[in-house]
Amino acid sequence: MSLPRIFRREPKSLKGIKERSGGARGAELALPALKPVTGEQARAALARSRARRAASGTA
Amino acid sequence: MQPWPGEVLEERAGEIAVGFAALLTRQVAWRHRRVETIDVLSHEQVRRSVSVDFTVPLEHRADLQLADGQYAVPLGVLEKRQLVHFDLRSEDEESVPLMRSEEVQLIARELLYLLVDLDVDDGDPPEVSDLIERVLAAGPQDADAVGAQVDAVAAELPGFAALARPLTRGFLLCAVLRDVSRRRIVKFAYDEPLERPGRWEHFYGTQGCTEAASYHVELAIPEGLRARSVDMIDNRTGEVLAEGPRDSDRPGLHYVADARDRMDPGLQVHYATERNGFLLPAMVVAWVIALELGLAFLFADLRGIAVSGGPAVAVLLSVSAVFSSLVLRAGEHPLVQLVLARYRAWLAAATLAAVVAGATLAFRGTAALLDLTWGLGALVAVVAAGILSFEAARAPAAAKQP
Repeated sequence: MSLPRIFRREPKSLKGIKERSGGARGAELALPALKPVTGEQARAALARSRARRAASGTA
Repeated sequence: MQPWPGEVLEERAGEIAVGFAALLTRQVAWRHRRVETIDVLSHEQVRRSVSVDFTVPLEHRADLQLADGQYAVPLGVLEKRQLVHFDLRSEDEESVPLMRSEEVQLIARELLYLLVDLDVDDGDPPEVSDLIERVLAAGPQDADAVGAQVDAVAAELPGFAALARPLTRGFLLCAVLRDVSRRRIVKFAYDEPLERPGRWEHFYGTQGCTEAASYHVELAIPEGLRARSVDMIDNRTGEVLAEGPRDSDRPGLHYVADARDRMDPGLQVHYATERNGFLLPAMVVAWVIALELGLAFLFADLRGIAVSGGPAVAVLLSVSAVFSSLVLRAGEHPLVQLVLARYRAWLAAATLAAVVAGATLAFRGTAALLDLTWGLGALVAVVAAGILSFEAARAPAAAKQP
């Protein structure tokens, strides 16, 4: 035999709890996972990018 | 003629962006530990102190060099809004220079161009110069509009879009350090307002838990309060990621999230007042008042006492003194005041009932008025004492360390 519905407490979801509580969200933003880049790859990409920008006059 | 600092940065921005590209795409590989301490200043404001423990990889130290004895190190991404009482210090508590957002933009611009090129590899990238300028110039008002433009190129330029999205709302927080040849700890702190001032439950965002190999967050609870429960929760799904200690005055929690998981992590804290600080004395006072009024109402000859007058004045004065000492307490933390306001109101109601009852006695009220004020007063005092007893029984008692 169970208690009448009025006495049963519905499980409260914690989804969206931030919007229901007082609090501070923090001034920092999380960076998403980025594909790992090596120094060599980055240097080569910078050189290509600069060459393109110089050619198109956007540098 | 030697270049001026601004000119040096323009010259070095590309090389620094190369170093940033390597560091920001592998944050947990060089940031060992991140510790955040959230200090509850009031019911409207907290101070967040963050320490970042890191070692710049040997192969990228030269990339980060700005000038002799100056290295730019990215510590995180901060929102483009004014920060109150911002402070940046080294492990020796020395002030550390912070790159201005305009200076960081020079590096971020090169970094975004670089990521565009990495996304297209040997192909020709789409024209994104204007978009990059809009990303860098975006503020809180147009961040959504610029973010939508970034989303429009995300399929073609995923790496660029992944970094550009946070940069529409934020900027890279870069410290300028004299020495990156050893393991360093840099600390920054700032005050932030509570978006919705809360009495019992607070949620503090902990986005930084993805940005180091180890993450630890601590909460400095105001004196007189305890954290009934502290849980790390993903606001997006409601999942409890980690549970902290119960009834602690300085709870700490360790958790590391994977940056690949899409989540909105934060610390959910449920506050409670300590039993011994206010609740227990208030409960005792409320019961004394309840017994005083209740027993007198049931068994005493109130009309007869009213004729003598003396004891009534004594009751009136003693109750007022207790009222003053417990209700008008100065120097309490604002959040404690807010949390205790409801209980203080109940104690004040009981005290007021006693004062009114005493006054009708002192001013020799009619028998009916005496019965009414003492009977009603006793009832109010019993209700107040019951509520305070219930809350005192529920409240955390002795200090428990995390």
